[in-house]
Amino acid sequence: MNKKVSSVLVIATCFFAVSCGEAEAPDANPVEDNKEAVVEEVEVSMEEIDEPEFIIPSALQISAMFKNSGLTYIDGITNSPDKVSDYNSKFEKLLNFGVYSGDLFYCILNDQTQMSIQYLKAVRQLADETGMAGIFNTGPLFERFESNIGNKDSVFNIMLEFQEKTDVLIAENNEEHTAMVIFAGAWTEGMYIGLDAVKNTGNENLKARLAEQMSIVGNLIKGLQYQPNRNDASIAYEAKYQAILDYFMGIDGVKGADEYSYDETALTDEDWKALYEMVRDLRNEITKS
Amino acid sequence: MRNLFLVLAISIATLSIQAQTVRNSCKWDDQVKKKCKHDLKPYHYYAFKITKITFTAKSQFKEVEVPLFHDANYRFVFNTEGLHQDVKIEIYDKPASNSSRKKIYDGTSHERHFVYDPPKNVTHNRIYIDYIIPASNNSDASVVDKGCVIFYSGFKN
Repeated sequence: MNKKVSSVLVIATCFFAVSCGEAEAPDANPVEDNKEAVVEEVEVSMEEIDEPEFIIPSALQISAMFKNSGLTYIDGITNSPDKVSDYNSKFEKLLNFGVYSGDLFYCILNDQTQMSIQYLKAVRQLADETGMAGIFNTGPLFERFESNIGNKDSVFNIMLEFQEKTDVLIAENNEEHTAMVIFAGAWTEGMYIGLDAVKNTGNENLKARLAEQMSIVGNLIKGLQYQPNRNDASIAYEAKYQAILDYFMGIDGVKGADEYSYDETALTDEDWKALYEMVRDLRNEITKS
Repeated sequence: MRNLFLVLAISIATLSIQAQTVRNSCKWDDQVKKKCKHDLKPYHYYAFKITKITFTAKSQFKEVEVPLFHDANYRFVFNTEGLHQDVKIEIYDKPASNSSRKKIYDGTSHERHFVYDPPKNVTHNRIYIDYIIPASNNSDASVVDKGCVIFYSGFKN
């Protein structure tokens, strides 16, 4: 085989490699505004990367449910917004994007206006640093938030809009795995605050809502496992969420009438304390507290 | 030189065999968004998902799990304008793996845009949306048909 033939083979091989690489990647822009069918000539593979087939619940709704169940404001329990620059990797930033979102919702629902602004700033910074500046760039969300800060209903609606913009941006960019990490952070912070309150007050309504949240930990773990760049750190987090779920599912009598319901009355004070400690340790690791 | 032409001919032939046309009908634009958000009222925004579908020679099944919480009511808005072939949409109280599950909604994407409020008494802490996707009705093997279902959900305490 002479040199020319070798070169052609190399070029052909590279061409195939590039073609196949493009074909196997998720669509860069799968969602298009098309009045008529969009026809594009591309190399395709029939294999598609599976995305998790579940909906991530709204962290704002979870916060609102906790509030409705009697969760009051606990001064100093949230993660300080001053720590926003302490997070280095994208994974850490996304987790804390979620933590700060949870803190933001908690402060808004408890009329902590100045703290809310601080948390929105922290969230915006982390959005900028993780390629999600679009949440704030598509409209004056931050400015509207500041100018409506005294009006609880308006602020709540702006937060719903924030949540929707985040979800839509993520879906449009095929970044569902990103949403999983953000949700993991928000869920952990919400549970940490709720479990802390239960530890101190024994609030039965709140216990029921917290136990209900355990039903989504399985999907939360699947979401973390779906990360394209899983590493030792993210796998370690998966194991911690799994340990929380295993503990909960191992409580005698916790499984309800069927495998999809739970009986929170089966949890003893010891169980609530153990769950609190597991979630607290995980949350402190995420927030570097 | 003959070898060079041979390699080029094989490469071009292989590329021609692999080339396919993607016809993506997925529709997600301001008009769809406006329609979905309008129909979500008076519920608050809860969740959003684009379920992407690729029609193949075989029928397919996709199940999407939606978590629901005890003290809230929910609304689902489906927009299927981004499908040029109909799919069946069924909603169940339990996943497909559970033989005792109950069907609580049965429809097709033919409706293009519809609203469904799951009754509170039939749901636990989650609900399952099944998309039953028929085999592609496109006989041209060189064309791959894709589409999507837009799903919006709202909640009300």
